[in-house]
Parts: sequence; C-alpha cells; structure tokens
Amino acid sequence: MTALSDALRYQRLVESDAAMRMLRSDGVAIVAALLLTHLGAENRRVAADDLYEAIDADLIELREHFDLPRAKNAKAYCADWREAGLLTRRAAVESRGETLELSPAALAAIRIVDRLEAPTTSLTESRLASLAAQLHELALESDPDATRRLGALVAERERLDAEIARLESGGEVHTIEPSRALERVADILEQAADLPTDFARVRARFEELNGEVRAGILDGDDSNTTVIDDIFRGVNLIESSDEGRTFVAFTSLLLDPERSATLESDIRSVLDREFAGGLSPAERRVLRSFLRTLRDRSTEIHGALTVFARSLRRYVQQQDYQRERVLRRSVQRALAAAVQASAHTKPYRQTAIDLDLTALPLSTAGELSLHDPADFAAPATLDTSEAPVVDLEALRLLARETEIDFDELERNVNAAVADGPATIGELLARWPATQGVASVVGLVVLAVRHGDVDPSSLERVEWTGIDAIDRAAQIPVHRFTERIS
Amino acid sequence: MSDDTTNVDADVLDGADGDTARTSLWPGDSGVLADGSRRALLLLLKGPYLSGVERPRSWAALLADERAIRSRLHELFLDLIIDRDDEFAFVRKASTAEFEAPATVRTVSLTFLDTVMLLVLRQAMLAAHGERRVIVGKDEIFDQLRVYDTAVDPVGFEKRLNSSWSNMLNKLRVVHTSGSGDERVEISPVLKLLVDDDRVRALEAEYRNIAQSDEPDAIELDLEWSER
Repeated sequence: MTALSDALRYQRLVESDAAMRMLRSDGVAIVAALLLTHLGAENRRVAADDLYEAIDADLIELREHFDLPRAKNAKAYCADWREAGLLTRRAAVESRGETLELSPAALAAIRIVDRLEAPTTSLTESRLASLAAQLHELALESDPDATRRLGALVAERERLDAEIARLESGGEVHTIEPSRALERVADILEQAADLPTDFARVRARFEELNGEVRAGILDGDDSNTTVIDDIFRGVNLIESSDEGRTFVAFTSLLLDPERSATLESDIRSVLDREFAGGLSPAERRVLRSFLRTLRDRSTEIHGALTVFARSLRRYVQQQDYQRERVLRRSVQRALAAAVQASAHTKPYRQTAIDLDLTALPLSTAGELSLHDPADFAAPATLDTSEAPVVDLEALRLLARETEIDFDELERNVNAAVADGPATIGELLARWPATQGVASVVGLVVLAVRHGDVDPSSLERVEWTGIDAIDRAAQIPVHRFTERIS
Repeated sequence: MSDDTTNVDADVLDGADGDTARTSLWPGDSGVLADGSRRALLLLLKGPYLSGVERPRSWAALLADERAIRSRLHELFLDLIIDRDDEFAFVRKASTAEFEAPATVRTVSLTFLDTVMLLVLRQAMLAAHGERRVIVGKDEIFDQLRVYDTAVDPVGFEKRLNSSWSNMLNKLRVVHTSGSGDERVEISPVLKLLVDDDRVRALEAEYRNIAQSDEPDAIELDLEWSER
C-alpha cells in the first residue's frame, strides 16, 4: 500500500518535474553541456541573442560528433528548453530584448549530473563531525530545561578551560591533518555549490508571490480588504512571507560588517594554510570569491524585492487595481461578445472603430533630391584584353610584399632554438629582417603565440626598412625556447 | 497669463539680441527651444512614443521644458500625454470640442480582427501584473485568436492573423520587435492609454451591433465588391 502511494507520488514527480524531464531526455548530455557552458558559472544571465549566437557556434562543432537535427538552430532549442522549464526568460532592464538564465530545475539537474561525474564520498569524517556538532547544538538550543542546558554549557566551559590551561603551560598545538583539512574544504565547497540553486529558487518564489499578491488583489472583491490594507500600511507582503523572512535574515547576516569581516578573514587564513596548496585553482577561486558572489546575488534579489514592494504599493495607493478590475471585466465581456460577432462578420471587415496613430508621417519636398541623368549614363564600351602570361617568380615577390613570410621566420626560429633560447633581438642579429618591419612584426606574433614574454625588461631590435633606411625600436623581451611545429 | 506672454517675448528677444548661443543652433536658426528639448519634440512627433528608459536625456529635457514643448505641439493641434510613473510620453489629436481642428495624426479604421487583437494584447498587459516591459510571443497571441475563426478556411485565417499582426507592428506601432525577430514583441506602454475602459466598452457595443445585424448575404455581397 505504501509502495503504491509512493510509486504514484514519484510517478507524478517524474512526469511533472522539469529537472527529471531533462535528466530523462535523450539529449541530456548536449543540453547539460550547452547550458553549463553558457549559463553556468559566472555568466548567469545572458541576452537572448548573444546566447543564440554562442550556441549556434557550438552546434556546428557538436553536429560533427552527435546526430542532431540539421535544421534546428539555437533559437529553436532554447524555445524548447524554455517550454520545458529549463530556462527562465526575463525582459532586460537596460536594453531592448530579453535575457535567458537557468531555471532552478535546470540548476538542480546539472548539479545531479555533476555529482554523478565527480562523486563526493559523503561518508567522510568531516561530514559526520559537522552533523554531530549541528545535532548537539540543536539539542542544546531546543532544550527547555534550564538545568540541563546550564550543565551542557558548564561542560563546554570546562573543556575550553582545560584546553586553555594546557596551551598556557606550553602544551603542543594540535592542528588538523592536511588530508582531513582538505576533506573539510571539499565538504564546505559541496555545500556552497548548492547556493546558486537556492538563490534561483528564492527569486523564482518571490516572483511567484508577487504574481499571487497582484492576482489576489485583482480577483478579490472589496470585502476582502486585508491584503490591500496591509499594503496601504506599508507592509511588504513578500518580505514578510516565510520565504521572505528567511531571506532577509540571510542577507542581514551577510551584510553585518563584523560577521562578514570575520568570514572574509577566515577564508583568507584558510587559503594561506599549508594544506591549501592541495586545492585546485577552481576551488581556490570559489573560496576567494565566495563572499562577493553571495553579496552580489543577494543584493540583486533584494533589489527585485524592493521593486515588487514599490510597485505593489503604488498599485494599491493609486487605486490602479480598481481601474484594472473594471477594465479586465470589460475586456473579458468584449472578447466574449466578439465570439458571437465573429459568426456574423469576416475577420478582414472594417468596423466602426478608429484608432488615432501616435506618430506623424513626416515628409517634405525638401527631402527629394534632383535626379542627375549623368549618374546613370551608360559607360563607354569595354575593351577586352588578353591576359598576359604570369611570371611565377614575380607573383611570389608580390605575395612577399603583401604578406609576412612566416615560413622563413619559423625556419630561423627553429634553427636558433636548436642552440638554446633566443630573443627577437638575437634572432635579428643572426638573420636580418628580409621584409623590414614586417619581419619584426611577424617575429613578435610568433613569440606571443609560442614564446615567453617578459614585459619587465626591454631590448633593442634593429632592421633595415624596404626603403633601405636603418631603423630600431625598444620592445619587451620576447624569448623563444622551443621549436615551432 | 499676460505675464507669461511677456516672458516668452522677452526670451525670444533675448535670443535675437545677444544670448544666441542658448537657443540658436546654427546660423539663421530662429528656434527658441534648447537642443535637448527640440530632440524630445522631434521624437514625440516621429512617435510612437518617447520612452524615458530608452532615452533618458530626451526624457529629462521633456520634463524640464514641458510647458514650451506642449505649446509647440498645440500649435500643431496636438496634445501631449505624459505617464510619469511608467516614464513614457506620446502625442494625440487635441480634443477641441466645438472647434474644428485639422487632423494632424492619421486615424486608421480597424478591421474586426485588428480590434480583437488589440484587446488580446491589452489583456496580456493586464496579465503581466505590473511588469515594466511586457514581451509576448506571436504564437501566444495567435492561439488566443483562433476562437474567432468561423470560416472553413484555416489557411485564409492564418493570413488574416498575419496581416493584422503586421498592422500592429508597422501601422499602429503598438508592438515593436524586441530584438530576436518578429516572433516576440514588446507591447508598447502607449496601448495602456489607447485602449482604456471607454474604448473597450465602445468595442463591446460594436460587437453587439455586428451580432445583431444578421444579414449574412448582404455582407457577402459587400465583401465581394470590396475585394475586387
């Protein structure tokens, strides 16, 4: 019986949940990869057109390896994903057009894929320790019995006193083992990785609440006035919802200068510890930008909250909602009447209704310009001339004048590095620039691509221009160390 | 009132006498508005509306110089409508009561499908719950309009839908493309004021008229004539 009810419940979830749908679809590899590449990480909200362009470029490459429908472009894919609840569309604030970002469901699905790919052993010592600590704290804080609570606090103090006494008497400092420290960092990062999903969910929920409050005002009749009264009195309904209160507590903790300074210095100390050398660059980056990311995201959500509250207040105070209520009923009535009317008319028949345009057709004789027949006069007849036989050597010289001869430069570089590292200046001393400044430019281009650049020191390079005048310049030292293949 | 007039005259004289740099933008220019105000005026005339979000400088100039710009528009028998909350402004034929004013802006007569499409767009604005910018897809709007297809010819109806859609875009300019092609458009905030409760009621009355004028034969004849 329970199995059946569970099965039915899960079946509903599997069918209705967008994250589940994404995971079950055939193209999950491609969807997850494309979404993660373009909307994961830092660039979370992208202009729709930019996203289409980026995905279209990727699709060309993906088609070589995957069997994708030829005709389907990025726009069509994104439309599907939006339909499936994986992308959220928003009107851009500054510009025309819209932006796309991952929905909470897509973030959750991508997290699952990530976790499957790099499983984190959840049975770590640190996980157990933090679980135990949290449970202990919960038990303590939820205990109504003063004596027992006092007892626990005293025990804690005694433990601390003992530790202080031990250290004061010259006891050895016990630090955690590097491997276990790394394990704990991994555990913290694992929890931090859930934050984007949480933020997206909070924002989506606030938008939903805003819609609900507005719809409630619009649908409600005047007898149900508590919502309207609340807004009138300046109550921020969204902020005072359960979700809102949790979020406000979160941000005030985050914006508390003392707390965030402590957090920041803690993060810095952890990164300075010896064991932190074992962290990957990406992990270090996440830790370092942790606080900033949190602040940015919560400021943004806070901004959205403020906008909702302000517009709700205006909506109520200016009695817009009453006008909209009336108008909505009128529109519904008119549309219903139109259904009846449609049986008696044709869609293209003129009605007695006119609309004034809000623009002037501006045109003046002044914008006309005279027609000059000479502009269109037929040109003289063209003579055909025989193409001369081409001298291949002449063509080669011509090509050398217009193009940098990279072949020659690469040959010189490879010859030089056979005897050890060489700078551009040393190369030019051995093989003078045959194409003048173009050879020097060519060498710099090669050095940027294949060599090392030391911007702190300069060297003098000399060459003879095509016009036979000697020239020289100071450039940062570029050094070739290995062959160019 | 008479004070106002003298002030304006003094301004004009000032411009002609010494302080030419303030209003005169090119040799021989006799305009009295500052550069920004003139641009705002031109944007208003070119239509369909001046958006404070898209053109903050012209918007600021309009608010600062509202009286003078309004007066220039009155000289063209036009009225200025400003929505300060949603930050947009547009021009409308001045309502002149008994006085007969020449028409400065064109008046377009609407087909049955045009009117219904306007209503559906207006409804979409209501459903957006106060979003500042309302962006809708062509498909969503078309889907809501298919109930009004009573003919046996779905291809023909699709054509009508498209022609009404391009009317909304190009002629009435109550929607404009949002950058990703014509499939998704932003509904112009002006529609809020163009399709108000009075107009919706007028439309409803018109629909009831049509439903009562049960002369299908006459309509058919009329159509054949007008289509030729």
